[in-house]
Amino acid sequence: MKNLFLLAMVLSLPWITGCKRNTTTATSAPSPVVTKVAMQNMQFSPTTVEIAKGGTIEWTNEDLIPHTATSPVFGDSGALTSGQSWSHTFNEVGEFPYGCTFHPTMKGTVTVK
Amino acid sequence: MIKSIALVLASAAMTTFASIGAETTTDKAAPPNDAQIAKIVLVADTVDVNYGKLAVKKTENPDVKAFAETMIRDHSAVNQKATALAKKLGVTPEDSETSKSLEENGKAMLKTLEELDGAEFDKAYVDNEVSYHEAVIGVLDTTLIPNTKNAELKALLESGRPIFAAHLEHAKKLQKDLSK
Repeated sequence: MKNLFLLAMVLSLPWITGCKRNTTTATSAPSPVVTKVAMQNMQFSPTTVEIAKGGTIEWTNEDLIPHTATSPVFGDSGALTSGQSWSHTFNEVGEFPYGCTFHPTMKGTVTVK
Repeated sequence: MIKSIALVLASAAMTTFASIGAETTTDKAAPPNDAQIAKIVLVADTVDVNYGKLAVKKTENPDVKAFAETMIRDHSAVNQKATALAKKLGVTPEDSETSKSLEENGKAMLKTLEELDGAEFDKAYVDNEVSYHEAVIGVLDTTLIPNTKNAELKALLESGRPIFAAHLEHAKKLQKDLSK
């Protein structure tokens, strides 16, 4: 009886391992492409960014003062203080100009292809 | 009337900061030390925050109000960083003739601005912002940044420069719009 139990355990090992492998494969979806844009020295850097449809932009404020990334089309980050970030995923193609609502000299463009 | 008030305010801003240069050019042996520079920065920011608070209260022009709110937000943020850095470095901001003069002139200018209303106030406030930021940038470049010994304080001042330059550009655009 004990031998039968051991045999069953040994035979089931590849199945268990396979399941595990399959589970790992199933959850490893392609990671989203994130492009970083810094808010630095009163500019968006880089000022113009080109990404593929489905890509994400992550804005990070590296200045001393608050900034926003704001567009009438894709939305508004709200005030980001020094060190804070905000992301947006672009699921539509097009050209999206945006700016900082606090500082009219800060402007940028995201082009989605 | 508006023109003469603007001229008075502009020359007051220039005089305030000219005194910093005078202190260092006539007495080359004693340029401002880091503790004095920290205090000058804190006072310069506070003076502009106070102008902004008055403008938010008095103006009816949405563009002037938005600009004033930005000045309050930005100069308060710079002051928070400067205060935190001074604490971290164990530097106690130290009064100097320059910081005292900045404070006094700031109070005098606030009093002048308080007496104005409507378009007269808007023009005087924005003209003063142009002069004030021009003067601050000049002093940062010629006196404050070159004389700062501590690397972190120097980096903070250097990070502040593009902020003041953008404020100046914003103020000049507003000045142009108000003159139309």
